[in-house]
Amino acid sequence: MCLCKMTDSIQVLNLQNPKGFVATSIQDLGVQENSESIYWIKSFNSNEVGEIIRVGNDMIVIVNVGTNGRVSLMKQLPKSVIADIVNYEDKTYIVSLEQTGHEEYGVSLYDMSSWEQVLDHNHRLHYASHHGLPEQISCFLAHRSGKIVYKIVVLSQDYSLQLIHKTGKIAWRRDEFMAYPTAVEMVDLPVSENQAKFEDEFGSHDDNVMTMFVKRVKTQLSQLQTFVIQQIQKLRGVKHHSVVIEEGGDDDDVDDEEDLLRDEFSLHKMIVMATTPGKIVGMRSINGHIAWQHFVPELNPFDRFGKEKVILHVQRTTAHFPHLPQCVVLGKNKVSGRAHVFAFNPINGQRISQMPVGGLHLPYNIVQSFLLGEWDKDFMKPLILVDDSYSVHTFPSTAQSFVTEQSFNIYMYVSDIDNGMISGYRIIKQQNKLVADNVWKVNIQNQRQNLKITSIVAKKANEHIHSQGRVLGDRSVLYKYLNPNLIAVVTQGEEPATSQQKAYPVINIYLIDVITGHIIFHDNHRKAQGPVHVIHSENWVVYNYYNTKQRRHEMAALEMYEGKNQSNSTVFSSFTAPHQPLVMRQSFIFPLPMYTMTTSDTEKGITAKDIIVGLKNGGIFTLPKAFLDPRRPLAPTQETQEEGTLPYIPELPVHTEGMINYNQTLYHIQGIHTSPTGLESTCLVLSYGLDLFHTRIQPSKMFDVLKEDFEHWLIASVVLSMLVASFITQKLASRKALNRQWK
Amino acid sequence: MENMNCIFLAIIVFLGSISLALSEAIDAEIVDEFKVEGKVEVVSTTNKDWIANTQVNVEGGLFVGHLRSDGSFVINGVPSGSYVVEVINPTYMFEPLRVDITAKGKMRARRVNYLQPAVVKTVHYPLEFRDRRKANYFQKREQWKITDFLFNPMVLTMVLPLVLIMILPKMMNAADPEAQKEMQSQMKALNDKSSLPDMSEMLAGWLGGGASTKSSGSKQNRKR
Repeated sequence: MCLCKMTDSIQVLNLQNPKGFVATSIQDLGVQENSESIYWIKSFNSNEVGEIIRVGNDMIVIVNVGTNGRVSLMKQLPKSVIADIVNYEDKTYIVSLEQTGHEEYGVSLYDMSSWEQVLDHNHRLHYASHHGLPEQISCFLAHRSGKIVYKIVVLSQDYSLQLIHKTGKIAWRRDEFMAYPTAVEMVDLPVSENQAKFEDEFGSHDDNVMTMFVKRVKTQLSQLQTFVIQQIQKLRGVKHHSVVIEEGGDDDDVDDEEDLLRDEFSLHKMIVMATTPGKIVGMRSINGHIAWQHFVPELNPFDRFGKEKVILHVQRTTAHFPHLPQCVVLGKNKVSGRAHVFAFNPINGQRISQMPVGGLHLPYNIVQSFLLGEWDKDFMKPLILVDDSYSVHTFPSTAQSFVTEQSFNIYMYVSDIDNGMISGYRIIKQQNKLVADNVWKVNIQNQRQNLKITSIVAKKANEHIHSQGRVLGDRSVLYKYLNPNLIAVVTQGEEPATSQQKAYPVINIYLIDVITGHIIFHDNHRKAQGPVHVIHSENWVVYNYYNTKQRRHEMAALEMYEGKNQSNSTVFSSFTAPHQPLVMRQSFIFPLPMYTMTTSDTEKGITAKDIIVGLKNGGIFTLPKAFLDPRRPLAPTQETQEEGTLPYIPELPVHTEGMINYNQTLYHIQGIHTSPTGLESTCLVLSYGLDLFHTRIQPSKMFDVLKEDFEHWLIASVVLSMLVASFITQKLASRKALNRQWK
Repeated sequence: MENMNCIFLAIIVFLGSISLALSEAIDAEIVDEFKVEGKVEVVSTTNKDWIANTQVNVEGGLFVGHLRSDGSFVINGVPSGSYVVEVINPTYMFEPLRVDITAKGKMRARRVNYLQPAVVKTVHYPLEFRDRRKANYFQKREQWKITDFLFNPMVLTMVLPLVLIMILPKMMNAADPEAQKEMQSQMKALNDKSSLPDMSEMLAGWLGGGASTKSSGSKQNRKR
């Protein structure tokens, strides 16, 4: 038996005499419901036999499929969202959840033979709408003091699991959607209003001294006001009331959350996570509590390189008061496969104005999307969407004129994964519309090896690079080749077997400039197998692969330099860039297999970089980038010692002191996200996958903040005692001198 | 006749294809799968808590095994090849071992050597894992100790002489007056003895010394 969604009918096929499906429409069974959809819940065959079907959003129909293939209606439960059949003490009960109000469900327990309610009074529970509809329930019944009590486990559309017991109270809830992340981003929290007004004074373009002075006085008065109020409140012992939108009705975790404001060193961030069931959630990074949630079931992820991903961009950060911050999530529509966007404020989770509840369904398929590097006058970076006819759209659509102005500068690329082709485009205006115009094509296919592009990695857009070059041992400078338009492309294939040798896998890595299509570098690894994990940052690329001949994992490091002279010290342009930068490469042996790897990120790029590796043995290991330096010499000389490069040892040291998750084992890590903080020495690390783990790392130790156990009192006391001692000795000495004079 | 030949040919081809198909089917079923066995022991403690959260990973999670209550494990379904078997436990560290399984099912266990993969140092099979050491995740924070301060060379060169200068005179004053007089006389003698001819005195003596002796001599004469 199966359900046909198009005709809203139940199709029955007799397996003994298969003659074809016999359809019975729902209406035939007497169900008065103009339903949009029918959904099969489960079948039961204990004392009674039948099927439970949900019709539309709020009707449960229990049908029986007879031996002759006829479908007969057993019971209709209006207003029910889900039901289950339970056998208890030789009786069969139907337990169902009914919609009794907005975000409220009632539990009903019917005896199947008599169809009467067993539970005596109303059992209502609060069921938030962002869980979607319940998909399955499972019920356990027991007798207690003459009454029937139940424990119901509800699995909802957003993969969350809840237990209902007693009089409809929720005992616990597990939000399992967090184990299926598709995109993660960390957003700074906004500064307090006073602080923002203060900064506004400096940002204003008023040249008038009087207005600035008046503004300054006003802001300081308001600051004084808040300070006085705070002091009074502290004295009274009144805690701040929560500004954060907490889930209403949650008895268990209504703790006194602090306001979502930026703290001193910007260590507290808002983690925005998009997940597979279409749940978009904002969590505080300090304690992992969920601040807000959205359920957008029509937003499905793209399937790219074998992984499910949605595209999550921060269009406007919180640094531009009074403009609200904005994030946008781009995915595929569940039904049509066309683009589906959902934009919201990442701090309080509210949808931006004119955004419908389920997200905006756009009428075209997406070929490429990216965030423009420039922001418009409202500090918003428009999201550029290119559809399959290569015409260019923007989100928000009001930014079209701004993009048109900037179009001379916009280049993009589209890769054909299966055929090994990358094409570059520029945006031009054609008959009042923006289109993408093909500029170059690069064919990196090798038909014999059947290469497929397995990953394309670009640099992080907001990365800061502190130094332009590297100081060598003889005090000369080796300038770095810093090309922001470079992508690292990895292709994998297999060399077919010949009479002399067996088939073996190959890996190619290319560094391609996206604007000109120029291949800066190409390397080939024979007998090397993926999965290839690539990190591309600053002027280096580090990638990891498995060497099938030597049966070990290896890490290769590439560094690009321009040479002793810098070609352009102000602005980089791909058209005038040096064609063949000096590429230094070296490979090392990495003893353990890994899930993923990434690099640490700090605000100004002064701190040394750490490579953060998610190992398959459950640890997250940080390795300083200095170990993966292609300039590590085989035989250290005076010069290299001055430079500070470690001598070359083929094996990279992996030890437990470098595991940042100490004894908290983390398996199935899907990705690691790093984010800078206000402190230059500190970087936030969030690992997501089956579990979420968040910590801070200090790649160069904490050089900008005094450590916690800094002995202020000891030093103060030593200084004071020295002062006192010097006074006393002075007095003693003068007394002695005086005495001697009198002798 | 021709028909017979045709049929005969057809039958042979048919039989041939069937046998091929069968052999392929047989080959497909006999993708030999073997099992990896071993035992994990922790000698540092006697309580068995570590067994519950220990996992045996073959080739980074391709095959996973858990331990029985006596610490032994069996991982089934492993095809032939060479694998690195490691025991993962958050508190104890174990050395990984490499297991080579031939197509016939012969097992060989050897130490893992990434630098020289061809070097074979066989190890007893069924595998035996013993804990090497406890996993140490934290570095000790640098503490300020009084000994660091006292043994610092700068402190020794500055503070110690200061102390000696202060203490020694006190010790000398503490002695009784006679001893003091003795010491003073000793010091004088020392001082006189060490009246090595001072350069300037010598020169003065040569050049202008005659005048002083003369004057002293004349003074003496006058007194007489």
